[in-house]
Amino acid sequence: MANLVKPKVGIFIFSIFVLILIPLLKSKFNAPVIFKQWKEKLSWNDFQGLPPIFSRYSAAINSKIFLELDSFTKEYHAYARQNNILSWVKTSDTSSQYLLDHEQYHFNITELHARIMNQYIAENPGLSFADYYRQLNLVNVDRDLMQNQYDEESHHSVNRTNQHFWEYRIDSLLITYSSDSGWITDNYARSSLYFASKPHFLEGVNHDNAFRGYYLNKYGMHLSHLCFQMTDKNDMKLIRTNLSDYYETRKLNIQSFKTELNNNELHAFVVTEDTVNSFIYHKWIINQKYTYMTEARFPDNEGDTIGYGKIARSFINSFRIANTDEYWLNQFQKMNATKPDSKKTENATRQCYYATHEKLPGFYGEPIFTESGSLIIPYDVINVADSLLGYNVIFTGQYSFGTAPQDWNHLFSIEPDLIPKDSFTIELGYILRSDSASECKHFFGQQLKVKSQVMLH
Amino acid sequence: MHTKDPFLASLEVKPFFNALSYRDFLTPISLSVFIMALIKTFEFVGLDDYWDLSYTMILIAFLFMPINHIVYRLEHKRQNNFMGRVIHDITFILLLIVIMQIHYFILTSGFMLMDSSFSFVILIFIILMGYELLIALLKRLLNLFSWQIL
Repeated sequence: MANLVKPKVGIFIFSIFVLILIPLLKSKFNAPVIFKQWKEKLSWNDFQGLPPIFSRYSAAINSKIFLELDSFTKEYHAYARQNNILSWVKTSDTSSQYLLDHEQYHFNITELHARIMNQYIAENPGLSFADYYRQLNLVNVDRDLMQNQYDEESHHSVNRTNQHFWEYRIDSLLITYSSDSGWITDNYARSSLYFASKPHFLEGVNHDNAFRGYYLNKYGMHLSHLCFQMTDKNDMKLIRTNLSDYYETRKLNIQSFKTELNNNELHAFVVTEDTVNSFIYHKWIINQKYTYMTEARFPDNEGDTIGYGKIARSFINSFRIANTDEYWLNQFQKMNATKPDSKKTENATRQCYYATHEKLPGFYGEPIFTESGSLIIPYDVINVADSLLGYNVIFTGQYSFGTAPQDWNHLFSIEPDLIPKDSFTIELGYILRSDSASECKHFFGQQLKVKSQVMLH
Repeated sequence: MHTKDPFLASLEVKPFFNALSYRDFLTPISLSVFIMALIKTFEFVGLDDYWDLSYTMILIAFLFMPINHIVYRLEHKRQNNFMGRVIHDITFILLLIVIMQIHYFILTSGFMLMDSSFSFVILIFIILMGYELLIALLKRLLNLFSWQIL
């Protein structure tokens, strides 16, 4: 009888040795692990693991959801954390921000599922750890499915358009499970639209037209929205022509140009291509008071642009004109509650002012009449910091009022008994702090025509 | 002298159990641990990026299964019969699953989720029977050409 016990025991011991060695190598012989919280952005220093030698990928991340008992609230809380030892990157790829972003969004998917778990805990308080752990296992199955789908559809970040679409999708889902809705409303311009990520604010003056807006350079795209204040009455027919000129002067190749006139409001949707291979989607809404322009720009030289197109349409279609009267009426109530400095108002009436109209000073919202008959006008000084402002001034012909810049966003108000009965013109603007001590102050202002009865609530 | 029908003899389990010893368990244990080590090595060097290692494991398990029978023949100086082989295969598969679970438990303090339904167990049994039947047919075919294996 052949004695094969020794070779069998030899194979067994060798295999056990390999099975012990592999986890030790993976953990870098139990090197101290740093778990990174999701709130901090990832850097390549967080990828300290050993890269698999035959792996065709450049990096991998290990992130998990942890359940912890909050000793203060006595409730469980789920956290997403990244393990630096089990996350790895090949040294040749540590300069790629694009690749790091791909890994960051894997981490974001884990965070998303931690939030889903937290929502479950909030909806089912007081359960045992075993119950929550069972639910966490189900959440982890969904998380793994989503991670795989993300890699599959973005082709491990090789397919740029799908990669960016997934980034947009994950950001949108993260917002769904946060206190922020993603909707940005400009209370002055009355514009409202959805950003999956926090945009940058923008304001200025262009050809005597004050504008306010937001922009976001993310997902390989430029997404922006601008609202221009119209100083003169718009001729819609002329605007339609001007709109065509706008594209011609910029040498943009028009792919599609659709316009529609509704209630003296021009709606236009224009798709163009520029000379550097970018697609530009524009949505215009132009009325007597404002011109709204929503833009999505993305490259079309990367083959597949379906993902970009989806983001562009989603962004542009989210724009709507909002009614912000309630917001300003609340601000007005708050302003009354804080009782602005009456002395300052009184002083303003006795001052000497001179106006040069040398530059357009601000962006004003539509005048609103309160139930008590007061007139309120939201007013935002453009390109001047609050610290440089002396106070805001409004003239109604007979009277002038001054108010110091406050938290309630430069809201002018005129008491009912001081409002002229017919249509009237007011001048609104500001005095610089550096000019406060002058005998006759430089007034930076602009005119606004108000129809008393029409705008009554 | 009365000789048994070879077909009926192949379905008897008594010869297998009569000769059963610790060595018959040592073979599948060593093979299972070796397969695990092989798969974990593949995973460690990143071969799981190219193909699914769970299918690779099933494939390797079926490829390594005849080794049990080769070792059995060397140790017992006789071939295992059909039922003995099936029992040996089932032992091997069960040990492989147990070792996988132990390995997983040591690393994660949890257990791998596996289909443990009755129908799945029956399916495994049928697959193993079919596999051994196929091997038996192949052996018979090769014997016809005097190319005896196993």
